[in-house]
Amino acid sequence: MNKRQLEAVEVLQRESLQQDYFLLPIVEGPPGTGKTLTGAIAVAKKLINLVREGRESRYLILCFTHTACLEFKNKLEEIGMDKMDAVYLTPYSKDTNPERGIFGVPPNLSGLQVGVQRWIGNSPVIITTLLGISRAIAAFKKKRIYLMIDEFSQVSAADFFACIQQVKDLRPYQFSLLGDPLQLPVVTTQTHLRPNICTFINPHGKGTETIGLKTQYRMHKDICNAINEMRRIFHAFPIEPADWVADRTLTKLNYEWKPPQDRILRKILDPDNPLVLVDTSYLGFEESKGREVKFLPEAKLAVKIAIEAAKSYTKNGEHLNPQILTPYSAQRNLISSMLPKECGECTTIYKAQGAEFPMVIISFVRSNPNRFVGFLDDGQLTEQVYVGCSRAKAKLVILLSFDTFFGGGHRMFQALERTSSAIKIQGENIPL
Amino acid sequence: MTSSESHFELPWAPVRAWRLPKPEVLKGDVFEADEPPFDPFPTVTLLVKTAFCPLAMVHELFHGLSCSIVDEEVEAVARSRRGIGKYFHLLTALIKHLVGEGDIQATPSAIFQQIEIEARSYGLNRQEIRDLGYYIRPWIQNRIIDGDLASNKDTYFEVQVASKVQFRSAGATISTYLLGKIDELDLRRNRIIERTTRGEAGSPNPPLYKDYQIWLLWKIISSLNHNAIPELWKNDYSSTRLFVETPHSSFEIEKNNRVFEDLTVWALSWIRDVSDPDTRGRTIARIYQEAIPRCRNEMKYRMCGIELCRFKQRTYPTCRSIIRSNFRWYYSSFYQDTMWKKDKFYYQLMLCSLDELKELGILYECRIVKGGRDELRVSLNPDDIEIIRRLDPEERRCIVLIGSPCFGVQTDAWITSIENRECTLWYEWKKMPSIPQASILFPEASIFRTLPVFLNQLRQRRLYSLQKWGRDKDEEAVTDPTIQLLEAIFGGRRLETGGSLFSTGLMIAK
Repeated sequence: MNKRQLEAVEVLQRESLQQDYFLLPIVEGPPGTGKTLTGAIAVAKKLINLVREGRESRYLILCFTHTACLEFKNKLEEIGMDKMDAVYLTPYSKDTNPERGIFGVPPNLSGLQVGVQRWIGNSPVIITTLLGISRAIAAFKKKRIYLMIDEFSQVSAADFFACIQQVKDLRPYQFSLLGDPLQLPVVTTQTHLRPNICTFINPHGKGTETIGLKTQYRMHKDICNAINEMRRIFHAFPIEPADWVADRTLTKLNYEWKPPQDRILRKILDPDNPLVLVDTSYLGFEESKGREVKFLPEAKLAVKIAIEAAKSYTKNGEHLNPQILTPYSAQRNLISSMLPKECGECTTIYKAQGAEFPMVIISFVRSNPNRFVGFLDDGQLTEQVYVGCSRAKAKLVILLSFDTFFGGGHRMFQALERTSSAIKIQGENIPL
Repeated sequence: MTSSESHFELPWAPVRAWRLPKPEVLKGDVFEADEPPFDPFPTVTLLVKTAFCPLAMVHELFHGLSCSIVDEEVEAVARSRRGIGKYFHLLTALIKHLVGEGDIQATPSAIFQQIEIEARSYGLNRQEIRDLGYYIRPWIQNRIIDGDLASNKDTYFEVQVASKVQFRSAGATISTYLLGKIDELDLRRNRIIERTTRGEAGSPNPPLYKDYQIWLLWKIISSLNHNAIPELWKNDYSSTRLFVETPHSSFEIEKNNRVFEDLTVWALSWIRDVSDPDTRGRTIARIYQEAIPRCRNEMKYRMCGIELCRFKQRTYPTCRSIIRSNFRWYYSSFYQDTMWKKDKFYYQLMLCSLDELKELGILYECRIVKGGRDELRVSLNPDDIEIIRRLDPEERRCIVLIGSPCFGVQTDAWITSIENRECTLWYEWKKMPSIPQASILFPEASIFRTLPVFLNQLRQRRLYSLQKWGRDKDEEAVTDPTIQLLEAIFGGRRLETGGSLFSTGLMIAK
């Protein structure tokens, strides 16, 4: 662990009620900086200390999504916590897997066998979503807790206070927040509900400096450069790659590369070009129908690159599985219908938050004469670009219409254009 | 007091026009942000609550507090049995259906036994089943005496109806859409029934505002264009008889009631003024100003189920006024968000053509292949089934509609599996009309996965509860982490977020 992470672990173990101040630790962890790991180590360490002191206490970990809950549980298990000591409560009974410590339970735990209820209530850590908090409250039965909220970028101040109302009778020893304020935001139609709890506290002049984790362990330095260009727009501190990831290419990740025949595809897939921007202006314009926006030629191109990447890169005889990301569900559906299973997967950027992949291909879809990019340039939703790009470890291929995105004065995309380490493929007609 | 004895004063001028969403809003071409450019879609329950007390309407819309009107005489009993009404409605309909089909005998013992089995299957515990019995036993006995315990083939339960309705009062005329649910529609006897757990044995009047509620439902069905009614339900509703059924009695309600017209215009005026951000502030202020003294004078608080309305305010946190002024925005934001999602959806159902609804991804036509007690298998066309197949599991919550959005039986459903061109849906029991055509509705079709709209109300309620909550004793407040957190965020207590602790020497790294 680096110095910042160690400091965060220390702070996360202190109680909120202090003589001179109230401590609400906020750990600001940009992509790949290990905020979940830091949170998990703090939880484990505190629990050990409590046992040593002969005190009994519980941790309640709240995440915004079920994926994040599972990730937190996995991190706790990775650092040695028993599966049954970190119980994950979900609303879906079909997900129940007692051996893994996962229980699909109704909101007030009604209908559960007493033994199971007792088991859940006695587990030192309960992980659930913010919306599923009533399950944990029912399990804890007024035992005092430590409360940790992960992914606070998606937690509006209103949701935070609604959650506080729920836990008030459990008299938490500590409240803490983990997240990256620049990642996916609160999704709402309402301006007043948009500030996440961290940005809500700061304009009130209440928050002191957060605990910023500055070293990232995921991205190649070229991809990290693009992320820093975007962070600059938000006046956020720059992050730096740890030494052992700075030059991490697909070949350094032990993938063997057989260059494709086609000159352009070879350039796109070259492991020494970790960040490639491909201009799709020549492919024409997007189709939009109702709320659905899709761009068939760009979808075909994304699939072609994914197939070629799967063919070109192998590791121990296994093909690389590139991950295609797109902000639009209609485009995801289109790509999924064309993409062979063995050549990767496609999902929305929204769903990819928290995940990381060796190679990512992003299809940004919008291409129109008005240079309109919809919510991708909405002040509150630009994070889609930031999150999408920061999922890649060693290779990131971005498909976008340069005319629409770079010509339209859209800040996040101008940041991409400014990234000096990016290889730009423009004016090339790639056969589909 | 009866519903007709209500006295009321119009807020400023009576409302004369209701803002409907423009076509571009309905088609999703307008970015949904902040204030919706249309008025709310009025529902029968909201009108009844407003007629009872405009403050109840404010609590409902902004604080997520549902108002149950409690009859004075049975107040104590009713308060302890909240939430039973849903099962009362469900099981009375089921019993009438089973008796009508000849599946159970119309004897008290056979029926009570069946009710116990059904109630257990819904997860009710022994105490809840006893509470349910308090209402359902007299209801069964009285229906047996009346010879009215069996439904017939033309009886339908929980029929959702919506239409554009015109109301006139004191020179004002207002046309607005209105949505409601009829507990029982009996085409053979040409009657509609509003069923309730409220009402005392021997009471000469129907429970307060139940007569008004069924009158509103009748206004909807009698205003419907004959062509808009599905073939199955076509009827002359102008001559339909209206009944309010309590566990103890049944009351026939007079349709020609001038006071109800006045009451509706009055209630709509309040709703309109509260919904419009330009008039919201002063309207809510006036409602508070008028409601509390009137509530005391009329002893209305004894009939009102909103406990937090009159909740004592504690001394700590001391920064309560800042909390209130911050939370105020949340309440109206959640309300506006609900309007964008729920009210707009109702308008879309009313104002868009079938093709437009399909285009918007809101409605998918299907054919019922097999119907079970709580499971339906339906087939869809290949394109539609592909779209549904690609939905994430959490997006598979939907509504099954048999009939039309104006007149039909709806039930919440969940798509549990998809095979070939068919999908299986789980739903809570409802007597479904025996026609093969149905529709699947996705009310929250959205490019983003947003939270279901019912959670807005839950969040409003939690925030309002936190705003009212607190402590009186200084020594308790000082050691209460939640009070201190609120004081640190909104009040004068110093807040540390961790980053500067090491640099200021407040903490030493190990």
